[in-house]
Amino acid sequence: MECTYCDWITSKKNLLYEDEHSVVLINPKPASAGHLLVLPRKHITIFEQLPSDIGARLGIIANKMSMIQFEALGAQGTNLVIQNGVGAGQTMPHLGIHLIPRKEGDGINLSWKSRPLTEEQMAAVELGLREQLENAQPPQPQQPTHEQPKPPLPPSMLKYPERIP
Amino acid sequence: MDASQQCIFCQIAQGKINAQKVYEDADFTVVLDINPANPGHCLLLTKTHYQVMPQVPDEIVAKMMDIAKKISHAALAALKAQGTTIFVANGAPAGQRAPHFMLHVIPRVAGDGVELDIPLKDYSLAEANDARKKLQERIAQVFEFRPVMEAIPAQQPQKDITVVAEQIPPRPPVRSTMIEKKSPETQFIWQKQTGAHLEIKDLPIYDSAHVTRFFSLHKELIAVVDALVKSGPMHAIELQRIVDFRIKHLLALEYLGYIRPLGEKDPLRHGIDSTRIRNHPGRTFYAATRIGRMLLEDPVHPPILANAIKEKIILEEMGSAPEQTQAQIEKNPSQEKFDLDRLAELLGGK
Repeated sequence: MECTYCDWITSKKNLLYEDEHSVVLINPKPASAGHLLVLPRKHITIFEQLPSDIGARLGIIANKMSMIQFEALGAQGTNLVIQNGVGAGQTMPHLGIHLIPRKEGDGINLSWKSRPLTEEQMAAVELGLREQLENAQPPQPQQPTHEQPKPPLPPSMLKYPERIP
Repeated sequence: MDASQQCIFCQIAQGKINAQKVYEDADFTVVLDINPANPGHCLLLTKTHYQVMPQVPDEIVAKMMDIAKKISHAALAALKAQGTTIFVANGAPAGQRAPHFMLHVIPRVAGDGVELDIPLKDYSLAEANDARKKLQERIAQVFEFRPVMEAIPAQQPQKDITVVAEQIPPRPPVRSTMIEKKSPETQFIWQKQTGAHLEIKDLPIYDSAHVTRFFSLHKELIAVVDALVKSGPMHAIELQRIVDFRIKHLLALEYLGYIRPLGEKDPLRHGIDSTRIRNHPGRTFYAATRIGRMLLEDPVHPPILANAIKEKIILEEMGSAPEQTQAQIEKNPSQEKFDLDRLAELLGGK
């Protein structure tokens, strides 16, 4: 499997930080100076394939890196973007969290035009999403057996069904 | 408490204002954006008031990623989206509009016109390296981590290309054995095609004037050079290496009739303006035509070239060569078939 990010991870090219599950690279094609990529070490293509523990680690690292961008580069803002799927503009077959340091008037335009929907459309969308969230569970990759069993869900998560209004 | 009372998103998250909730748990509420970029645009809100993501504690971030994944999955399944964009803006310069941290999950379809593609910009190497160094230092402080690869690309070559060029020892003027070995017949074709009776073996092949002249002889290559001028800078030494490597391929292409000489008139007068190439700032050349580009992409085994040659041979055998070649064959009745051995020789003795 050819994957530029996997190559960089193994060759430690552009690497700034690595741990067991996550790797931080500096993007050689930046949107602005200091544009970072937080990647899972494992080759994972889309967000839905990301195991929860790795996802949690990536989120924490991304958040810390975002803080570092504020502190080290004097950024006035940061954007965290995940392009999940070709429809969302994903160009690499390896999931990555983009962290883009921002400054006032840097000419980067990451915004969207709103497209208001009718109330009926909104209700249909709401219903569709809610049904999916209640019924379907995202496919969890099989955990290797030698890993420790997952801790039980926190009480807050168990409470969730009753809390749906 | 004060902030959360004033913040509309806190009130939405805590259920004090009605909104179209799709998910809720102890820490998060997910609602539909009332001004969606696309149908199904969700906002993941924390119940506690945080202004920006760096204020959010680790355990909440960890949970948030999991919920974002679920929402993304639900959007893909329920709305037949082809992808999702997960987006966070921290700070007004990054496009944050409300003083409450939120994570957007935007279902996407190719060509939906949502302008959330990450732009690529050209930043100077110095600026990029400076940012990298600062980040590295801070990461070393925070994580006590230093990457094994400390190598930051040197800035010097970018600053003064000519100095570096002078430091590289000049290559000995190797003469192309291929041209010297050229049979009288090939020499004849060459002269016939160029229309200019060049004494090629008298010109050292690495001379830039020769290279320029070579380019000036072919329409295709001129187009390539023009395309290269637009595509980005390339060091003169690099170009020379490429030209050096490819002249044999070019000769083979010419032999096959894929590239043609410019015309009967003096090519140096009517072809490309050679001074434009030679005097380009930083002594840079630029890369290739259609043919040049495909040669550039795979220098060792140019597959398109190989296919072109194969195609040509097949066409020859089937008796339906392209028109242009047909015309050439008519001009030179002795060249009805291509000599595969000579072709191999031109392509590097395979």
